[in-house]
Amino acid sequence: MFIRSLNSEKIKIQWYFFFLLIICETLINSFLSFIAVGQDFALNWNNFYTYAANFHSMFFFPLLAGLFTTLLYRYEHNNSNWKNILTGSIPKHYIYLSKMIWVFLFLIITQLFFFLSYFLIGQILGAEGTLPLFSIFKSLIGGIIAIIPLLALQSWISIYIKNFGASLVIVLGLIIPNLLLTGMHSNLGGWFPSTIPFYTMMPQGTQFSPRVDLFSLYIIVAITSTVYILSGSISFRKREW
Amino acid sequence: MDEYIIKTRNLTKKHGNVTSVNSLNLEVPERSIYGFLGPNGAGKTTTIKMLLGLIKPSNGNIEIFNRDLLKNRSSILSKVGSLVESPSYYGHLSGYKNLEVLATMLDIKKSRIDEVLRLVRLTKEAHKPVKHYSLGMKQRLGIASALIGEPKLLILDEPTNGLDPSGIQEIRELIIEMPKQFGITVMVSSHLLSEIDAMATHVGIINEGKLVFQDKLDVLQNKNKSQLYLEVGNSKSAYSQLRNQGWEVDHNSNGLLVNSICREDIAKIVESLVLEKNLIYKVNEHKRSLEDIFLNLTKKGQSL
Repeated sequence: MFIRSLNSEKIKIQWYFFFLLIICETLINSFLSFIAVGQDFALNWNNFYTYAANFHSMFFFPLLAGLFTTLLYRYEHNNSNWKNILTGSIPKHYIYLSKMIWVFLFLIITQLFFFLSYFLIGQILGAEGTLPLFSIFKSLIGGIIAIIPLLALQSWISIYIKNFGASLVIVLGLIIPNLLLTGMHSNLGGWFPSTIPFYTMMPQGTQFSPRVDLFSLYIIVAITSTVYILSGSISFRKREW
Repeated sequence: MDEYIIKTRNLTKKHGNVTSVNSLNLEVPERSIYGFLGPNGAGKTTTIKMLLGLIKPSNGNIEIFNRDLLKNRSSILSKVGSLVESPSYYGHLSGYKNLEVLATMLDIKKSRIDEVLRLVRLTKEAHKPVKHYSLGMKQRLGIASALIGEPKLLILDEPTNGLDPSGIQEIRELIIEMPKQFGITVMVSSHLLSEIDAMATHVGIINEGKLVFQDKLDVLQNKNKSQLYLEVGNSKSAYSQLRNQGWEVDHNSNGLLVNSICREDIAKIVESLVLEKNLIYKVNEHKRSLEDIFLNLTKKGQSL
């Protein structure tokens, strides 16, 4: 029955628009990393990754998580489609969870695009040394796991926010403070869900590296994800439509 | 026909201190078209949302198909089709895709989509985006989505709201066909009596959250009978006099209303009043329209 809910969600998605957003993100991030690299003369794959992941993990990746969620919820808030799908014979929280899973899949695609653009721009700039595939892989997966708390929180908020503009303001409001929050140690900053992708994606041992304790960070991720997902699906079920 | 498809007991909804639905005992018979009538803000939509499990009652219980709604939500709702207030649709999708969303979710075969599209006469426009549909077409699409699961019960909240006369006529014809062709029970709400009058077999009238009338439409129409109106000098004594003689009488400050307009009765009544030295100023026929009855039941007449 859950598969049916996922498939039904799939029909609503405006694929071209979601991919357009991903491509825009990739282009803008590539451009910014390209500029940032400008002063660096000894460019190798390792330090180029730091440049590329910096903006992506701090702003764009969490931003897309918020945008995708908002868009999927917009379909239902517009023209009050809740009444239509919630009177079907399907458990209410299935709908909530399917939306989250679709956003999650799109975020995985975003990570792939990010990797491709990193590889291409690196080639163009003539990055030296060997491609640190293993640590990149770790960083990409880390980003995907780290986005879960934000995704869950954003879904929870989106249940209540009908207005698209208001929803965007909240998305930005969650992400812009990252500039300051990511300066804190992960034990503290990790409680703010928007910061976690930065902590897990940025390579260690560079001048830009955040102070991270991975073990405690993943515990924070597990705790906040569980809390947000549970509270979200409970309030979704209880909400009066 | 005493089988009830919907039965509620003391159904109540409170928002803080405000009681929007108050101890409703609805009884919707099988294969009826049940008109759920009431002025705007009387609690119709709130009641319907409770029947569909969109909001939880503060008190009381709901039985649909003789089973408790809260305990059997999914299995009951799989046999209920609904349209609540304004039509719901995904504007960027075509009519067909809109129905496909539901068909996929509810595990209904795709051929049913064409069937319901034909039923609401949207086959030609099926592949246009719904945002380009007229309101009437959107409403028909809404009915198509309500019908897609081959429901046994159809709950429609103000289905003709905002439509032009021909749109209203189309929806009305569709609704009337439901019990006849498919054995579907229909509950349809409206704030217009004429609307219910044109479709319903049974009527429930709700006002300020309370059910003020519930019976067959005929019973309501019978209240529509003409009465004899007598303007008299002293209505109180005339009233008690006629009462004692066994007439069915009502009185207000300066007149009497008698539930009979047969010629012999009129003669007898006038004669007996005159013999008792009651002054008679006026004798005429008083016809109550259904609108009057409705206004009277919902007491809106007084506030105007």
